[in-house]
Amino acid sequence: MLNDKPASCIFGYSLSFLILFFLSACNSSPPPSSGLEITNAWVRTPPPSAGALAGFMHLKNYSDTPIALLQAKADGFNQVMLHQSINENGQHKMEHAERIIIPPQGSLQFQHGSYHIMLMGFQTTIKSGDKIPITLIFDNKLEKTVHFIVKTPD
Amino acid sequence: MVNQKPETENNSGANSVKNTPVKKVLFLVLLLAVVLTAVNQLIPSSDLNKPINPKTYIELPDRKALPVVTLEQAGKGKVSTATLKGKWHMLLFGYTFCPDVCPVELSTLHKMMGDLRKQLPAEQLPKIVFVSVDPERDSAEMLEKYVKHFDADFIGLTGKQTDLTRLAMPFGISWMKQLNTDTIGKKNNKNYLLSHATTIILVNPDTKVAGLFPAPHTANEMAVAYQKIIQKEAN
Repeated sequence: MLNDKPASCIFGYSLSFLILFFLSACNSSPPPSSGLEITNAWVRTPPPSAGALAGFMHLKNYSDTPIALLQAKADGFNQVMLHQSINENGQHKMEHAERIIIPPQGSLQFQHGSYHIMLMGFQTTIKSGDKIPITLIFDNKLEKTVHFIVKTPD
Repeated sequence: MVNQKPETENNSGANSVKNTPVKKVLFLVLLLAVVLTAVNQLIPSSDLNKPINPKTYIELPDRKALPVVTLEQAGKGKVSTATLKGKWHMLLFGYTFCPDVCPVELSTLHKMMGDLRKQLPAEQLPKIVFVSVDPERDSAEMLEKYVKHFDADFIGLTGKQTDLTRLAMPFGISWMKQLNTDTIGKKNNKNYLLSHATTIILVNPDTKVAGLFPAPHTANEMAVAYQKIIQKEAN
């Protein structure tokens, strides 16, 4: 019995290595044909009676040309806009971003205090775990619908 | 204990008389001990001994009284700011249609309260008040639901624009409707945004404004600063 244990451990380790190998193989899948990859798309779980939401994501441009994000669309909201949060002398404001450039072979993070997709005016209850489809329109005639997961960050 | 003391005294006395190198060593050890104690006093061991970071908190040299205005709170109706007497309060100004900043600010304050609840007795904890500067869209009831999502102890207040301005203006806190592309030229459009100050006002138990927490806010730094402020006040 005692002798069996190390053997099963080795088996366990090799199995987890195999799984890890396959997982990492999945992660390093070839870049999408559009040259653009969007990951970690999420929306902060809104408090009840919140009037607006902000969507965040990571954009990666695998191509050799800059890609510009021009517009975002989502059903069920009165207004969807690309915004940039700006803090000037303690005064916080939001500016409509008309062209958000993702540099060639570069990436861009939508995050608190910076770029976000503003979703305003909605009738339904939005809760953690929901997925909000948002269509992003880029300058190279590319349109991508991404499902933004609703969650409360840590 | 009683027996030991004279013994050590005798020993050191004997050494100092007979053996000068030992005396030197003893002197050096003593000197080192004194220096180490002094250094230890100068270098604070915890964050609480350090002065407050001016980026976290600005103490106001002249403590202006918080203007007395009547606002509205869900379930309580009209509430005068004079009723904030007796406890420390932190006032933050925002609105529920605020997509990015206000939820993060309120989460930060909830985290700060988590830190403070571990460190301080309940009566020393500050009360967090979220003042909506958007009464056009935010009712007291909506505001109550909104703030309670972040922390069960948070208070939501709103009121007339004139009263809100009178309350915040003396501390350089202002806000204005932003004209984004969709709101220009449209009457009764409810999809507007506000630009607003994110400074947090600290009101003492005498309803005097003790200081301001300028943005950006960090839960831990605010919790440490608050403890230092009330500690200083108590002395």
